[in-house]
Amino acid sequence: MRKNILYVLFISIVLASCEKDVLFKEPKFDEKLVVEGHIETGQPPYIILTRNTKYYGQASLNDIGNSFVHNAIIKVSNGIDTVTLTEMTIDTAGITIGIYTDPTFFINPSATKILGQSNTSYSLWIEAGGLKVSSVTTIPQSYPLDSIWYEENVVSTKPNLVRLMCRYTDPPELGQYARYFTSRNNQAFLPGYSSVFEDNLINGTTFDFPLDRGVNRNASDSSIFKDYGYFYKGDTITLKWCNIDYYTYKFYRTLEFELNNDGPFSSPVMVQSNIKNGLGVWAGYNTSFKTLVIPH
Amino acid sequence: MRRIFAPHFMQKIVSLISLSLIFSTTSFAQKVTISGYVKDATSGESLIGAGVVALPSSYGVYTNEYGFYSIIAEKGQIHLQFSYLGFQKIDTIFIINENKHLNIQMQPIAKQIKGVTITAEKEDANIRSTEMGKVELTMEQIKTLPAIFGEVDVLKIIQLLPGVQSGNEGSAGFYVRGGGPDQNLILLDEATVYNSSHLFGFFSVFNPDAVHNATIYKGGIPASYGGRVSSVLDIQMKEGNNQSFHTSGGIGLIASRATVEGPIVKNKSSFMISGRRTYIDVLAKPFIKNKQFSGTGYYFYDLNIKANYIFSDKDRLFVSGYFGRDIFSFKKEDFKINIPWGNATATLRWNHLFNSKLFLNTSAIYNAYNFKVAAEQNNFSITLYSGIKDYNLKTDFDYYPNALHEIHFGANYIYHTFTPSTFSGKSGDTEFNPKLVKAQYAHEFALYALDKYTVTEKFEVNYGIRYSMFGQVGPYKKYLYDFRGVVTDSSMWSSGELVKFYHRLEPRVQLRYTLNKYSSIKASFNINNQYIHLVANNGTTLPTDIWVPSSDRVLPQTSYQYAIGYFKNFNNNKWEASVELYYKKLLHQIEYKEGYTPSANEELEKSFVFGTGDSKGLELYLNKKSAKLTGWVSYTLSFTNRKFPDLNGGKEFPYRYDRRHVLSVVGNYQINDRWTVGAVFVYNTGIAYTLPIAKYFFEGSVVTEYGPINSFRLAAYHRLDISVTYDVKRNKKFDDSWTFSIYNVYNRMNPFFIYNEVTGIFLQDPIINIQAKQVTIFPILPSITWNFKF
Repeated sequence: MRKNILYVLFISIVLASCEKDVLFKEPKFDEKLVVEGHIETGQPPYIILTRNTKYYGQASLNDIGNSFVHNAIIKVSNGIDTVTLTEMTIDTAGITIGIYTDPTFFINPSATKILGQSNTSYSLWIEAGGLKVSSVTTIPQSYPLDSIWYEENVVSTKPNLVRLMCRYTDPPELGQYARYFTSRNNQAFLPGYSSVFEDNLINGTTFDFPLDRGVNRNASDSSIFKDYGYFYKGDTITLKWCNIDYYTYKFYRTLEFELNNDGPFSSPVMVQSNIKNGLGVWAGYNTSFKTLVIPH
Repeated sequence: MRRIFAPHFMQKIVSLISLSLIFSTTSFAQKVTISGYVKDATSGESLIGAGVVALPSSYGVYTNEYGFYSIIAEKGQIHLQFSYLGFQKIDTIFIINENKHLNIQMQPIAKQIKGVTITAEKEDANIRSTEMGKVELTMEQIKTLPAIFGEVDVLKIIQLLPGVQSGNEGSAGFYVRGGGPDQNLILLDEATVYNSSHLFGFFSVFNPDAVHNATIYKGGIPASYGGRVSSVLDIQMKEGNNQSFHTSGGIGLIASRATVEGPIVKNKSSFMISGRRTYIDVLAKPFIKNKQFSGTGYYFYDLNIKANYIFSDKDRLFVSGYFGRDIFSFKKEDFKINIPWGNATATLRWNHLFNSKLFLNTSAIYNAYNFKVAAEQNNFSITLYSGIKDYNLKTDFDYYPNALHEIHFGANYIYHTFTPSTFSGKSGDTEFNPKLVKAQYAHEFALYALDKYTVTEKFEVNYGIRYSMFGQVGPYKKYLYDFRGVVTDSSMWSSGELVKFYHRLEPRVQLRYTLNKYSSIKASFNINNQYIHLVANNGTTLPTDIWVPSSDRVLPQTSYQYAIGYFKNFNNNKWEASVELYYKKLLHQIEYKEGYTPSANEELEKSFVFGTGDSKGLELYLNKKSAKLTGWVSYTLSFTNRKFPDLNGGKEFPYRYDRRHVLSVVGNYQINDRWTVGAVFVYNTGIAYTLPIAKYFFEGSVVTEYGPINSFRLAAYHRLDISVTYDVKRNKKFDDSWTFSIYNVYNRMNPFFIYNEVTGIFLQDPIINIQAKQVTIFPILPSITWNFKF
């Protein structure tokens, strides 16, 4: 159902199509740093740093391991204090992933110099392997959801499914952006398949809307689309609602469009990064949480 | 300043025309005018573009789109020759002392020597006319050519001409000399057809049975046409037989057609009704049962009607209309969606003959294109609607003052209503409606005059000017946006109040110099402006594409086109050949900005970026017009680029349909009076493609980084189609034929689109692989069609 409706129509009509593998001459590209970074309210910054690799062909675990950038110099500033992040490594599947953060937070939280705060901008500078990138993000004011509840599924063949509903009151000023994640039964927070919103259509109103269950994009399509959107009876749902700035919104909006972009009528969507000279995003989240227990 | 300048300029042009008239009128005082209509004797249909020559001078004219001609001759004995391809020539010799009205009925030649050709109809028109880049075709001529699914399509034939390119595989969309798909003015009985295709462009909306004649101007567009910068495709519906009743039709693999025509009052009035419907939905059902797409329905239909009444030799009235819809539906569990889209047109025309020298046509036209989506799930429903609607008034005079001049002048007014993608929704009792997006309104007005002036026997000039104006009017609310697209301010215009006004002068000149009886050289220069725009975000035009007016952010598109050509006929005009060179410059071209993601309820123009384009090319054409073997070869070498400061880092990039080489070979061979074989071969350089150049892993997903826009090429496109037509020849009253055709005979796997398949899961599988896959939609496809007429 999430597929482009024109694509569905197209495929259902063209019955004679066939496909084959094609090879393109390997194109040249410039090496770039890829930033997967965020700072949430009450939390220190977290950064994962990788680099881009050739597009076509095979990437082994070793190749993927090599795409992680270690020993980078990363600094974050809130305009008053500046901290240099420390790389903490995790070994998984035989490769080493580096996560850059401020370890003070785990030792002595009250001594942490930079923790995410509302209405604050954070600058980021990174230097690694001769490449330099920078960015700025803002944690905007918080506009949490008013309430959440669930509705029974109307499809009688699947009586164990429920839909998560929310009520949101949008402030009168246009230009609010949000991203959401859901967690089932205290598992990881997963972003929605389309996880970002803007208030163009609903500005200044209070309205009710359904939210789809978050998905692990790093999984097979069949597991992503199994009972797509629904939660199950007996679930404990935790909803993480994040107010974000425009550039973070634009990044995820174009990213999710690009990831879902397939088929004969698609055209390339250039993901709009807020990293100067690099790729990825430096995101500020003003988080608020709501929990809902769905009875059996 | 320009506003003052423009009318003055017009006056100058008009006085120039009148001066040259006075001059030439005085030098040709002892002349008379013969005028009238040329018709098909068997059906009473007007013959458009038939040649009328006064012998032995060889001075000649062509009939206009209503079959009317007016020719000047000296008093005394006159020899007039009427010719139209596929019809017997008529020679008439008489003594004349005063102006004469002479209607001519021409008899079709027996079927066996009628070929498949595309040509202006007078034998040596290729050499004699000033026109460049103009081609006329009649539907009769193309019915024996091979066609995909057996559905003959006028737009698919046009794609085989030099300088005209096709889009994607099977698409009826066309691109003229480096122009975009919105830059073609497509007219059906003068009504604009905004979306000329069904089903992703695989079929055009023009039911071949209802079409009488089609003319394309890819350059040298006369001043009587305006509003688009690349080409004009002018399609005339059949008028209907005013002699006797006939039914014709065809049964094909995926669609059937039926046409009824006949006299309302014999010799005075006739009608034509033609319909077509597909049954793909019925055929596809068994294949999609119990699959992901079960619950899908799709069909399209077309309905054409036309009637005319001849009040007298001086007055004639036509009324015609078209209505077509594509309808897609899908239903699964609690989800339901219905998507109808299509065009509607209505044309009322009045021909009036003031005298033998002055012909008037006045038309009132309505046309609309709409697209709608209605979806429902549980108690949540949405409706999306978009469209464009025009009211159009047009008046055109044809004036034949003397043997040296043929003058056309007129005016055109259009009132446009644009409805952008408008979304409304309902969740239980809560309704939500858009706040920012509203309909937009505009007036478009144009005056034109053109003169075909025979300066000397060898030299002819066709010069004209069009003065076009466009005004966007209220009610309109203009928003100012900040960098995020958030509204910061707005201003209001009340109903009818002028928001933005543009006006432009569009000179058009064509020259012809005859070198000898069989060859000539021609040159042309054109300026065209376009005030309404369609920006496609996709590789192809889709029913979802939206037309927008010029506004203060969106400037009118402008094109400058220069062309020069050498034209030669040989073997007694049986073969015609031409070489044309052109250069076209396009200003104020529009694309979506980088990182554009479509969304409802947004003013499209805030997502636009603007740039320029150019195209240059060489076109070769060789056409064999008669005898058992007919057909043509066309070859185009061209270079088409776009340049936008905000795209591709400001660097020039190839246009998507920049194809270096395009070759078409079309042949038709009449074996005997029952069997005809046809073949079409096409070769196109692969389309330009934006290739992924690198990837990165982000939150567990593989993200694509793209290379420079359109910097790679897909594989070349080529295919051969053949057809065999068997004429059953049962009896005189019932005529039927079978056409067997094979599309893509040697099963070439032409690319339709490329997708990149990612296998493996990040940090779980040992290997992640990305492989490009090329999808071909039309492998070898046989089809059979049965056509009948009684």
